[in-house]
Order: sequence, then structure tokens, then C-alpha cells
Amino acid sequence: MQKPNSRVLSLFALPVLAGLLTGCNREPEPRHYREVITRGEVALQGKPRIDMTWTLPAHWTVQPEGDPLRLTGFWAPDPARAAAGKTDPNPVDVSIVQLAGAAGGLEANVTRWLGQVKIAPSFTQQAIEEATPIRLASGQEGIIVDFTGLLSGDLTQTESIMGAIVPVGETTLFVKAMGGRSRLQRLKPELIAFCQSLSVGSASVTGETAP
Amino acid sequence: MSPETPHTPPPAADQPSTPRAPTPRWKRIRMRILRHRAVQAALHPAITLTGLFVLLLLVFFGTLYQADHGLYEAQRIFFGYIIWVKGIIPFPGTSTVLWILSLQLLLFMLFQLPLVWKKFGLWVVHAGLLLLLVGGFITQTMAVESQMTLAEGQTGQTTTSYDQWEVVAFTSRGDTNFVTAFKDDDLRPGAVLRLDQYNASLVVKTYYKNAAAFTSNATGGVMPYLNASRIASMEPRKPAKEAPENAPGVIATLRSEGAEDRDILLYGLERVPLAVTLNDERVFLQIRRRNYPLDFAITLRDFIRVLHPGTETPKSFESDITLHTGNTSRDLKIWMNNPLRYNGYTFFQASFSIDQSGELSTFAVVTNPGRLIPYISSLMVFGGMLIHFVLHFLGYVKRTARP
Repeated sequence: MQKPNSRVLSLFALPVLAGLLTGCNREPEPRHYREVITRGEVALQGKPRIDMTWTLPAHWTVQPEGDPLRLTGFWAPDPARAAAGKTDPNPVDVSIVQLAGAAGGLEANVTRWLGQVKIAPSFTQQAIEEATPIRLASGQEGIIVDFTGLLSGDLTQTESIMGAIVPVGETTLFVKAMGGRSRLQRLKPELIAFCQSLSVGSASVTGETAP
Repeated sequence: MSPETPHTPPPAADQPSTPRAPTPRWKRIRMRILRHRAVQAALHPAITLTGLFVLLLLVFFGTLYQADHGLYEAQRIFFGYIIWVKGIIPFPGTSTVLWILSLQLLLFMLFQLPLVWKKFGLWVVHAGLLLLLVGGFITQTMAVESQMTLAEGQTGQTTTSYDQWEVVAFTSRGDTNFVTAFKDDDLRPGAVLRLDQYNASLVVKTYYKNAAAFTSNATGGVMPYLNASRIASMEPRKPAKEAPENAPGVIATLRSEGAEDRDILLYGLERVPLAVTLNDERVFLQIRRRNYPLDFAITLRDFIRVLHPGTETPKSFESDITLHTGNTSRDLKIWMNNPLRYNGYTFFQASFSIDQSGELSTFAVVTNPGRLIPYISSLMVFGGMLIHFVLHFLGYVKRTARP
């Protein structure tokens, strides 16, 4: 077998070596582009929105971004499992949504939530009557509804809802916890504490933070 | 692949010698290269068979791996070049095997496949196979998968990646953001993200592909970093089973002319960008899923969901959309298995959700320059086989028709 010509080899080797060297030391290359803010995104990025802070209960984690209408979302694990240092495979989904005005009214929203866990609309009044009042850290008052004691039309339905509905200025704030019925019952003190820790300020431009 | 004997047998001594046209130079070179030991070794059928067997193993073990580690992680590991078994034993990945098979196929076509009309069909078949492999490479390197979620009445002009992220610095003017973006692949400690237009830069200190973030409650109210959501600390987490569930975080030093260095923290789950003043401009910083701006816009006019009677199971769902291009608008419909194809993009009806404001429709958006290649290569393989059959059939007819 003929020995490869070293000149020919160097012809290939040099560019490869150069490529490797430049590849190792390359600076991050930026990509420049323009994006038009669409109607839905404007609400999230540029327009006034309530400025909100809270105290997160231990073991709660922030959820990945998903639903663009949510202000934010959390996973709340079963307090019993969390205290034992165990991971909860089915944590409760806690979401915060803010909508303009009364967002259809209290009854309509409670009925809609009932429907999500297959409880008949006839329980709406009972759910509202049994609701407990809640006062946010910033002073706004609302109610917490708890469906865990209501009978679902679907006996296989194990999920339930517990949530706060609080009018905030010209908007309504919804804090909804959805998950296993028994988990929700154990989580209730944490959820109430979380809602009570919510401090909702006046409208401010999203993202403005003092440097 | 059909082998060809590299040596032409000399004419028998008792046959009358007839004048023959000299072999063209390129043919002699082709034969010479084919006789080379390295080329002979590269064309050995054992390589083909081993390659195909390794692909079989990769598909088998990749499928098993996917069950425990998710689709994205399985793709990342098994579609790469090298798989480190137990962290120390290298094993060829799908890309390596396909490159070897492609090169072997190319060598076969260049030096071994006879250049005669009789073999034209085989040429087409092999060219089709090579094109299929090239198409796979184009798809792997250039295809982009993303998504777009729209509420009824909402207009979208940007798609968002499922699992790839970017650190962005942008300014807003009117309804337009002017964005400078750096890929998450570049976020290694020490990397300098230059924001020349603002006379500033970000020097990456820490980057976690998946992290948990904690507010200042965890640090007794101390805020060591600039952050828009009052996040005071971060901890790395094991990458999620499904890559889209990862929440990356980056801590970097913000350097700008005439100002002190400041450490900032950006977290993937923040919905709010961090606003800073750079070069007398209000600049927003954020780590977010990669955005891909479109040169057209889509408005979701209506989302229609049909349920099976008496159940909550969807029978079908479809989106009535308006496609805005330049000065024209067209009303179209996207529904399951009937995507919208426009300008190199394909919009599939992927999923839907319902919230207080109404129904939201999610489209899976794919752009793939090699989209048509599998169709073309399949046609070539089919056509090549047909040509090969016809040529042989004609030859047979000719031979049998002789007296």
C-alpha cells in the first residue's frame, strides 16, 4: 500500500485544524431580529398590569411557562409527603389569572369551575354560601371556594378545586388550586396562607425594576 | 450493491485480435482508485451489514431508553455521533453510522457501479438512496420545530421553540421589539455575550439547564442579584425527563460603559423581563424559549371543537384562521391531518386549551428545507427499479427473439 503523500494530507489537515481551533474559541454569535408584539402578548409585556408579590409556602415550585393567560403557576406538593421528604408525583396545580372587570361574575365563574370537576351547576349557590372570606395582604377582600366536600356527578372524578376570587380594582384575580380531593384538603391551610400573603399593588409597567 | 470485477480479463490467445478503442483516461483512473486497498476495504459489504445491524440496535435500545428518559433525551443521545455507554465505552451514534453508510454509497457510485446504460436503473436507485441520506442530514441540521398558541381573535407573528432557549436583550418601540438573542448553547461560564449596540456585555457566571428558583424569603430578604421577579437564589436540578419541562437559569455580570458591574439573574419561568438602563436606553433582558419571527401573520378567528355525543372526548377540532401576507389576507382552515403549508412552514393543529377568556388553539409549526426529499428519493428508487426491470426485460426479449 502506498504511503499517503504528506502534502496532500496537510492540505486536508490544516483547514480541519484551523476549523477546530476557531471552533473552540469562537465568541457567541448574536442573532438580531424584530418581533411584532401581537395582541395577546401586549397584555403580558407592555401594558399596565397589577404588581404582585407573595410568600411562597415551603416546597412549592414555580411551573414552566405554558398558558399565556396565566400570570404564573405553581406546583404545590402534598404537605404530608413534602414534610417526610418525599416527592409528590401528583402535586396540586395552582394558577393565578387576572381578568378585566368581573370576568362574567362570581356565579358564572364558580359554575365554570364546578364544571371542570364535573359537579352539577346546581351546587353553585351552595359553593358560594359555604365560601370563606379572604383578605389579601394588600387589603383587597374576596372569597375562597372549596369544592372538596361537594359530590361530583362522575364517581371516578377524584380531582377537585379550591380557589380564591378577589376583585382587584377594575379587574378580578383568580387563584385556582386543582388536584386530588384529599391533597387539596391537606393543602388548604397553605393555600389560605398563600392567598393572604398576596400583595397586589397599583398598576405598573411590567418588568420595571429599579436597577 | 452489485460488485464489479476490477480486472478486465485479457483476450484469449487463440481469439483473433480485433482493434479496440483505447480505454478513456478517466476510466483508467476510476479503475486504479477502485483497486486501491483502502477503497476496497471501504467498500467491503461487511461495513454495510455492520452499519445496518448497528442501526437496528440503536432503534431498539433508543426505543427502550425513550420509555424512561423521554423522547427529546433519547433523540439527543441516540441521534448524535457518539454514545458513551456507562460514561466510558464509546459506541457509534446514528449520525456516525449514517455518515459511514452515505460515504460508502458515494464511493460505490463513484468507483464501482459500472457506467453502462444497462445499469442506468441501478444508478437511479443508488442516487435515490443517497439523496434519502442527504435529506436526513438536512432535516437533522436545518429543520426547526416550534409552536404557536393563539386565543380566539389573537394574531401571531412569532413561533416558539419547545425545548431550546435564548438569552435576549430587547428594546421596544411601538409594537415592535428589536431583539438581540444568544442561543442557550453559548451560555457556558466565562462566555461573553456582547451587546455592542448598548455598549454593554453580559459575562456568564453560572448556567443551569434546569433549575429551581427561590424568592428572597429563602435568603432573609437579601437580593444578591438584579431580577424582575424577586428571585434571590437558584439551585440546579436534574434535567427533566421531557426536555420542554426544563426551566433554565443564568447568572451573569452585566457590564456597561460608565456604570458599575452588576450581577443579574434570569430564570426561564419568569414571565417578566428584567428592565435595565443601558446607554440611556431602557433595555429588557430575559431568558426565554427561542422565538422565530415569521414574515407573515396568522389570526385565529374561531376554534371549533366537536365532542363525541355524551362524552368529553373530542371527535375533531379545527381552527378557522386568517393568513395575512403583505397587503392580502386569506381565510383558511386548519384541522387534524390537514395542515396549512405556506412559505416553507407547515402548521399542524396540535392541541387546544380552554381558559377564562375562551378557547386557545396550539399549532405545531415545522420548517424543513428537506421536506420533499424523502418523496423524491422514494420516487427515484421506485423509478430506478422499474427502469432496471424494463432494461433487463427488453434484453431478455431481444436474446430470446434471436434465431
